[in-house]
Amino acid sequence: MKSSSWIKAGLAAAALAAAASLGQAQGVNPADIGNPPVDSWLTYHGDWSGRRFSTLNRINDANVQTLTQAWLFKPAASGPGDVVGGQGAAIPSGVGIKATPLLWRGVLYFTAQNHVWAIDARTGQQKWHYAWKTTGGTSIGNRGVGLWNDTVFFLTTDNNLLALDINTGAEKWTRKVGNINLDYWTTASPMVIGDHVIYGYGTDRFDFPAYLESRDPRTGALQWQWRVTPKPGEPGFNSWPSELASENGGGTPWVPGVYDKDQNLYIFGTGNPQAVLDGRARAGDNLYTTSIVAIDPDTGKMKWAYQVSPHDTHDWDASTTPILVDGMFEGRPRKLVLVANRNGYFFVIDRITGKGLKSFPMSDLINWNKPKTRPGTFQPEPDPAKESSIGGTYVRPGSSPGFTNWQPHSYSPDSGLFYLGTNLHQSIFYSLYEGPEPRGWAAREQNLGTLEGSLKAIDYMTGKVVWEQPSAMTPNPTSGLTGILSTSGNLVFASNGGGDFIAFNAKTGKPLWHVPAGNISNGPMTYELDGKQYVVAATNSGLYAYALP
Amino acid sequence: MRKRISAGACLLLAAAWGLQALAQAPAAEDFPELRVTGVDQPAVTRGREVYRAQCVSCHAADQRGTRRGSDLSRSVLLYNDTTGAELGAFLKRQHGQQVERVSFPALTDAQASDGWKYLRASIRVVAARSYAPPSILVGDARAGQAYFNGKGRCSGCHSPTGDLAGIGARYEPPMLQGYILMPQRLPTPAVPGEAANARTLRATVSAPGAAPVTGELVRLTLFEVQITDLATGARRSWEIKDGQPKVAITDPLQGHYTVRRTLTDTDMHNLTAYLAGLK
Repeated sequence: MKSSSWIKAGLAAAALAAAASLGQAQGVNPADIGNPPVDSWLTYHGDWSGRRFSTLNRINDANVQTLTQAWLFKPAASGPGDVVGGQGAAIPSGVGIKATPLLWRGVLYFTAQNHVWAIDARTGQQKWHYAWKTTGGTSIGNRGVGLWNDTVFFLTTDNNLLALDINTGAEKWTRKVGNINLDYWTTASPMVIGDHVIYGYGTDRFDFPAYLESRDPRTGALQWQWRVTPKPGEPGFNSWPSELASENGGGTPWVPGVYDKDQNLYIFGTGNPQAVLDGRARAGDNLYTTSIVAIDPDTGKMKWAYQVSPHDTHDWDASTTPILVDGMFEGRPRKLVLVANRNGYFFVIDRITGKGLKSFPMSDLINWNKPKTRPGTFQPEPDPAKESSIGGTYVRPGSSPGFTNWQPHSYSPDSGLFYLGTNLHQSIFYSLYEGPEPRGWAAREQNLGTLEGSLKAIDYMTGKVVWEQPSAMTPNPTSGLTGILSTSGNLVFASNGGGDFIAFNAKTGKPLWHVPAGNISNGPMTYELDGKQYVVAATNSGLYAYALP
Repeated sequence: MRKRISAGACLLLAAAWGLQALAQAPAAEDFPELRVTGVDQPAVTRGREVYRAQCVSCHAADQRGTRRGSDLSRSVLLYNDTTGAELGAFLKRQHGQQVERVSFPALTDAQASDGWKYLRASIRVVAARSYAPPSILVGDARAGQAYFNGKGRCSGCHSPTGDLAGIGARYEPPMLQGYILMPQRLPTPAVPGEAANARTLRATVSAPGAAPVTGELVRLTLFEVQITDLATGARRSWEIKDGQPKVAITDPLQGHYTVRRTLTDTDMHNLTAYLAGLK
């Protein structure tokens, strides 16, 4: 281990072990988070790799046909015994679930906007519910909690980081992490690495700086803060025309990243630059927006970055979780980062150096870039003719949601395949402002709908789509975006845009089981308790658990 | 390190701001009314007059600032001032750069409040998606007509005196342009003479040992297909198992899907200009 944080984490774990011997409950050991036992799911992704792959195989391609519902939990915005915090007028009623539940000691912890639930992972019975009376902010979603020892962390829509007691939901501390008046969004699932609670935030409509920051899990004290867009003298600053443009350049990192323990790198994606759909006032590549960035979690210092959409003008956040794979590439073992981006390109990056090794388009209908990628970096080169215009510019894929989006992808080391949901849609982009200094969104997207939606299994080494299953037609083609889980049972769990939750053969794509639970609104997860494997997925109406009879 | 722009470092106005500022203010007709939903519109209109008369010479009609006054669309003071009290107090103090520091001691609370409502509404419009768009008609209608009858092969299915007669009067140009690429499946209002289901997807379901059935597609997944039988009007469903029954989809709008592979933005603009002129 390179960092002092690991020593501190180890000491904390030792202290907790001592506490346990005195009869106190022992909490989540930070050292377990990267390599969790099968009865745990300790990060948004399950572990630190982002693979969303489970070694469990009790449920497998030979018996999945008998999978049945074990329990259903329908979250309510309020109820008896709730723990309530916040200064707003009322408890928010919306409970859409985009969070992947975390699991520890038989209890699942998950969120909706301004709500946290702890429920029994065997039965779906509620243990506690925390509701935050928000004073406002965006309600687009919340992607879940982070766990550290006996503490649950989550972010509220009005820009607060909360620490709750893992056993009761009682507040431990609250810290302000943004300015709601500036339209800051706080929707991420905090990632716990050693003694750091890490999350990103920024704005959407307005042009203010975006940040990744780390806080002390014990006290909430700020440890470091990294601004996505550089200041004068910092690397990348010359990719902006001015200090003002960089300072107001956005780049919100709104999806949790992954962690390479050996290199001590937190690797995550950043969002689009501002003004969003009109880049005339920000000539240059606009680093480090729409990039995969590696940061030392102990210091907040950037180690490398790879930009997947140079000078983005189509809102193509690097919002898909990068996936860490130790695999073969061009005949030799490499430590890799695999990323499928909203712009329709797939990237293979060396995670030691940050160097791009390969990229390829995932559809032949993509039309926003020049035919050749940049020499040596494999970055797609944007075509200026495809930026928004007064008369309208026809672009595939469109921006919202893009070719793929935050819905979690998966990689199976058993099949060697990368799984993702895709949505090839088309849009016309209209400039709304003819002056020289566009602000905010600055242009408008007219989304003309989905042309093709599908679940794809891609061989990252060749770029070949090994298998593909179309999303539903109802009657028009639906988006194929879906959260995905792969397992050692040779299974891939995903949704189809038509309201089915499906298990596919991971190697062939053959559908083996389905249930009309509704479209999956989060990333499915799995665990084993008492020798029984469960698969859990959410729709916007509830959390569903499935198990063998 | 440069500090973030705030109204404290902006709102530059001439020292003798009164008549001089009025003299530099744009005419009302060159300074369009700001209309935003969910605001106190009379106050916004009054505030616009305050801004036009006293602020615009330094901060510009679009609030993005000039060399003399900075960009109000990024003013932290304005974003943080949720009641208008901060701006009113601020304007009564001296502000701006050293050479041109100004204040507005005579500004009434009502004027300050109106100005604040106008600026807050402006920020929403300028920074968000709702800025009023200019006309999108930039194409050459003659070239569009040539494309319609030539390369685009539109005239194979459409006629400017038949189904497209008057289409330029029925749809706004952005809608019209969108329909070139993705026409409505169910036209509203219906094109004269067109059958109600003329644009819906067709599915032909072929089950082993049974005659193929063709209908309007309702739903198709890996597990089931539903159609409305064209012959009887009845809804019919099949479970799909082991690849049976076979389902073949045809799309009456396939021509639009085909053309988009070769359509350039210039073609699109020209065609829209041509169609918009069919009134």
